Amino acid sequence: MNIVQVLVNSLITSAELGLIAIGLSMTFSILRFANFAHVESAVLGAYLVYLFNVTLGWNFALSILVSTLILGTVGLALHRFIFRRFANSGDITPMIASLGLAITIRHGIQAIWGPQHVVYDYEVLPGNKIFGAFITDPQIWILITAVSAMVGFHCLLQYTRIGTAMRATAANVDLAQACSIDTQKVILLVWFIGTGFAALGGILIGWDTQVDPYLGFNLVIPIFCVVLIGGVGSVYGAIIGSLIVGFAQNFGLAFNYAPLINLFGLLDLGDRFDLPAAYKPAITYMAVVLILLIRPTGIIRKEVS
Amino acid sequence: MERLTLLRRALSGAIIALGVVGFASAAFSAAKGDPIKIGVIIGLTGPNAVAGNDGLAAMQLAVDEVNAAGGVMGRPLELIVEDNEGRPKAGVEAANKLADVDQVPVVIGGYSSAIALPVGLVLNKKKVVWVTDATTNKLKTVGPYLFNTAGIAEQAVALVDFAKADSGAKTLSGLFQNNPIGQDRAAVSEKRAKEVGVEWNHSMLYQVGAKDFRAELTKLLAAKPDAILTDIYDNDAQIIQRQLYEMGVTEMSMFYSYNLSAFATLPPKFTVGMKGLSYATSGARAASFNEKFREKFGRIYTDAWAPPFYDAVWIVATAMNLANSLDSTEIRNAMWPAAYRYNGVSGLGDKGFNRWGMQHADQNAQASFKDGKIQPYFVAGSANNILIFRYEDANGVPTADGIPLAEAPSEEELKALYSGN
Repeated sequence: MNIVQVLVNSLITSAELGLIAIGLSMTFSILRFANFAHVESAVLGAYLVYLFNVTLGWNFALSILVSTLILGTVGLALHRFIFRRFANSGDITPMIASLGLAITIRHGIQAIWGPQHVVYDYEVLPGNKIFGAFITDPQIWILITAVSAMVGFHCLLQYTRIGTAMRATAANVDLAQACSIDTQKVILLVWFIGTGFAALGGILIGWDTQVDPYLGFNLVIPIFCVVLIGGVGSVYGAIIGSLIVGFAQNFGLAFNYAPLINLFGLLDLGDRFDLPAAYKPAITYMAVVLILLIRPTGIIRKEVS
Repeated sequence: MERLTLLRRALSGAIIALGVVGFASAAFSAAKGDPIKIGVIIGLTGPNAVAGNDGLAAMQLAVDEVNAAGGVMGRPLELIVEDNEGRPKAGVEAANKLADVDQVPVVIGGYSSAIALPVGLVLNKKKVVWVTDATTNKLKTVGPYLFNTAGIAEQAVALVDFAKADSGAKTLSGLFQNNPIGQDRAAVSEKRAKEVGVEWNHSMLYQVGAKDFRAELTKLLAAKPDAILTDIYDNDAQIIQRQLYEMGVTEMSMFYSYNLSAFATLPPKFTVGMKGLSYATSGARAASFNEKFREKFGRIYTDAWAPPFYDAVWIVATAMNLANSLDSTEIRNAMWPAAYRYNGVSGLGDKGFNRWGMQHADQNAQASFKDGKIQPYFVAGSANNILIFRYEDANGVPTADGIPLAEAPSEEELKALYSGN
């Protein structure tokens, strides 16, 4: 096993999943419903970069910035025109609405850009060899971007007044209102940042591989698993969850399970037992089940009072 | 002798193409009257969209030609197209709609074995002819209304033989889709490898439509096999080749692919030295098809399974004319003689069905990539790059699978074939 390569692969997977999952967890923490349209926002962001970068020939970094900001604004519009109307409708109605919206976005993307995959305009080069592992320049940028976004968000949450307001609103909306916090502003900010993070995550995946209309369909289950593992509504939990899923998917496939199957020497059933790649998605579910068995509310317990 | 047989069949095929089609109308006059509708179930969206759109374009081209040549029983042929979205459930829903609402006697489509199988089961129950170019071995068990125009996975032994002959590999690994056809490929390849004295290292079955294959590729390469067999399609091929390149595999001569055409649209640097089998589409008729396709759609098809779809329409139209009926059982019975005589675009023209409605042989061309283009490839010491797989016993005598039928099997024979169903 090339352990350094597996480690690099794990970090990249975690970075890509993490940004999208943070946004999902953030919106859940305040709005209290599972927003299935969130993952499709990631795909829409990725396609906007394609529009600006490839179709219109814009600079790549500028395309990423503008697309992220546009999607943040789209998040505001979604709240203003759709989800605000479900504020007092429980959690099922907005969840179903988000599912319908997700399907609409997916097919809308397909209607505009077609069913084929698209790639951004940059030259694919062999990775840089570091300690026996290959890592490409875009992958290095992906790690830098994801870590910067996460650290920046942490600073916003912990060291700013608006961050305090966000945490207070997430903990208890009524109490936050009683403390003169403008919770409507906080909700708008959460939509903006959450959807923008989703867009950024989608863009990074598109940068690393390619984009097609079904990208969201493939991401939705891993992203929800990340959120469940970390603790629904916890943004820090989403970061931990993405690391667990990223590492589980890559290391889970790389191990030779023979010692375990042979009960560490008690049996002799052969010296190799590789987990088939077909079980890769199942590794994620196994991680969810194991962690929820130990910690039913996820790794980061959320205070609800 | 074999050449004479093929020539005779090709000549009678030409007669069919020129004469039988539209025999109810004046010779070569365009079809008139109410259209005769047949169904199409294919992935126009979803993970198989590229191949699905290519396949549909090829079918539309064939329909235009059939209609220009007089149509079916003098009437124009028309396709009712249903998108299976790459999902078996959508395929089954489309099959029910086409059989029950549109009441078509024939449906063409498939591509993905995971969809072609359940659709085939539904259509067989409803006695609707189902013509597919999916390739899982399990197609053989579905029933007497199923026909296949592209050969099934059993014939995949050719690639193992090619890889061994070309590279002298002592160990092989495989990278296949985790679906019925991928599982078949893995099983057939492993069995063949053992038969020819090659150690089978590992079958990596990947999730179709995934966006990241680094974990799979890292493990595949870490095992250090002498050669790797692959069977990958559409978007998966794009990502896998790119990620291999990014992982430092800039020379691909250890890779042998079942479906070389899947890589034809990739940047040349992703396919340097890659070898494999390309579904044999050659000769004057194939060249004409390629030219017409480019003329009509302004591009060349990227998927090798487009020509068998084109052939499927022609075989169906010919069978309908031979049957001179829209009864699905009569059309089914005419499928064997139609295919036997039809000179196809794919498979070097030979499209004969065995008694199970499967192709009796599989014709592939050894090829390699040079500057991003697929070129004929000849193993050292060989002047022939065409691999024709035939079902034969140890003495080289064709088994029942390897014999094309000029006429339909009797009802009793068909009942006996599927008695376990």
